[in-house]
Amino acid sequence: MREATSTLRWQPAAFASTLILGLVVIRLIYLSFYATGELLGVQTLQLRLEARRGRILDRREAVLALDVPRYQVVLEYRPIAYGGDPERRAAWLRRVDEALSPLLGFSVREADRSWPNTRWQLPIAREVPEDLARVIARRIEEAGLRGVRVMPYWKRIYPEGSLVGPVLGFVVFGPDTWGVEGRRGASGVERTYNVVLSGKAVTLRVPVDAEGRPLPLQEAALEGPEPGGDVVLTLDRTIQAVVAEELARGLQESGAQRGDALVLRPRTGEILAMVSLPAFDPNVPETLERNARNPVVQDLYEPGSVFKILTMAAALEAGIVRPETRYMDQGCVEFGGAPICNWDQDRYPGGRGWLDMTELLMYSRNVGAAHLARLLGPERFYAALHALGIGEPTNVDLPYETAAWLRAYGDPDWREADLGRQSFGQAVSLTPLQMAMAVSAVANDGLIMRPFIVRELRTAQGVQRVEPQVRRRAISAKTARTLRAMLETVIEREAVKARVPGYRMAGKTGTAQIPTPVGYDPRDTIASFVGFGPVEDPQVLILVKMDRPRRSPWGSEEAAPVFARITARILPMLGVPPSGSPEGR
Amino acid sequence: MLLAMVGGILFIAALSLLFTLLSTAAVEQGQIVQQLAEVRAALERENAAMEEIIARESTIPRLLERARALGFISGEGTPALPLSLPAPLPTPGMQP
Repeated sequence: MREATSTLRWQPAAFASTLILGLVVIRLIYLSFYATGELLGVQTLQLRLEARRGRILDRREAVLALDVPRYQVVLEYRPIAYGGDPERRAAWLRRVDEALSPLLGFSVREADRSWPNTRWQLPIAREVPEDLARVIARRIEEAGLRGVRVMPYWKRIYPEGSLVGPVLGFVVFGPDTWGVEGRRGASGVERTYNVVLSGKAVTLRVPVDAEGRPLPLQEAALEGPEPGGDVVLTLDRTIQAVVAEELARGLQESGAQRGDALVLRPRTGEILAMVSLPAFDPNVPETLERNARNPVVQDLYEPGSVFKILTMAAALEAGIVRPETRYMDQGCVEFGGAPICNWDQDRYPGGRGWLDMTELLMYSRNVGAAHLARLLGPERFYAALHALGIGEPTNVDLPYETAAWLRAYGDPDWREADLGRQSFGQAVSLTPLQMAMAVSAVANDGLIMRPFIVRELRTAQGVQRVEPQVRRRAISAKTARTLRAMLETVIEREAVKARVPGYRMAGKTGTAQIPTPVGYDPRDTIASFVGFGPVEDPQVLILVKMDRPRRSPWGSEEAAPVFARITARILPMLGVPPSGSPEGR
Repeated sequence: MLLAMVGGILFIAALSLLFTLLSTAAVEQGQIVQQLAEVRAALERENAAMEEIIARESTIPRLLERARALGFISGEGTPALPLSLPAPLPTPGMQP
């Protein structure tokens, strides 16, 4: 009976002790195996390590964009390590200031005033050169300073600056669609291929001791960020430089405000050069907000007379005319209730009389183009434009491509007069790239390719080559060959400033009026030229466009010479033999 | 009984010693790996810095500058030599 009483007396105490001991053991197991570092609380340093972004190379492996190391000085104030006392904090800042201000050239205490309470880190100096970064790191160590460190980071640079700025785009720092902060491509190739270029950043939780010194990491935490892959462009930097030089010369001589030029291979759709002037420099962030766009892909314009190539292609393809078909060229005609006049109506008020189809292109007759549109009728005309890719994006691998605009047959606000005007390139807006791709069908035996700017992706998983893709057959090979010969005659007999010594080239001038909200600008024009060659085996297609030239408004006077100079310089660089030579066909 | 207790204590002491030795070795190895990772990161940064120098020295303006310094002259204005002469030029006309 006494024994039983004793056991009963001890049981509650034993139960309570066992319970407490059990809870302690469970907590210890949890902390040891499941919540390592939890006790450290704010003494765990969270570091996001940015991956090195991949390079962008031109087709000859020249580096156009790369990440380079830079250094920053960062203040880190952790209340547990340094105490939450404002006086202690002020004393700490004074020590940092005394040690580093002579090296940094500014007061750390001044910089501290912009430190928001919500952040425990404040970068006080960026873009610190490596040698200075080493000196600062040594000073920090010698002075035994805590809460200030020199940290490396990756900076994106573009060695060629504005030469390829609109094509490459630029990189910004900020949250993505998932809210994850980091660097990401904002435009150009940087944006389209952001997934390949960006790699994988890692976030490390580094345990630190009470003094703020990092403790040894677990093996898993030592995994570094995965660097991004390289992107190889179809662009040729040297050709790009030649095109930029000649376009700049053309702009200067003509007094034009700005201009664009494009060089591509019609057989494959590879873009060899894409220049817009003036262009932004992705190295200078201040210039980005205003002009950070790629006008060759994003900006619409009315092409004017170069569009007659497409009207003629439609007419030849439909079989309603042949090169020798003649029509009566009058100075003005009525089309859908609106007058259509030739550009030289003052010189030839009654027109040029009987002209064949080649002469229609040579003398760039608006009345002739309208005549073809009338023969075709709206259904066949718009079907042909659609086949040539007008009205749809080219699906180039560059962001923000703008779709062409035109009122087509069947649209509620379409009028017959639109058909007449569109036949010679008015009342239709497209990008320079879309215009070039439509004409490329003539150079490529009727096939339109998908234009592309990236030819190869190099990642840790391997090398992926981008193959040319046929978008569609726009016209027959026979029509393309016929039109090529006609466009060759245009250069040989009329647009002589586009002639290239040694090479048979084909092309067409364009002088477009500029639409405004109150009608067409009575003074300014867009002068352009689109051509390709050598005619016997077209290797390149070149489009030159100059906005508002002052010296002469005509494409034949301003854009054609630029086309000729570019062609004369780049064809030998591409190893294209002169026409008629044993190597040329 | 005493022998068993001594044996038990010795066993626990040996285990503790082994645990301590292994822990110390793991920490040392961890530190070495961490140092190596830091060295590797530093080397990668040095490599990238050298790539930057090469890229800057290889830009078109820099290459032109060096070519001029070596005595090369620009080919601008020097006409290409066609292997077949074109037909006589017509009178230049004007076209839009």
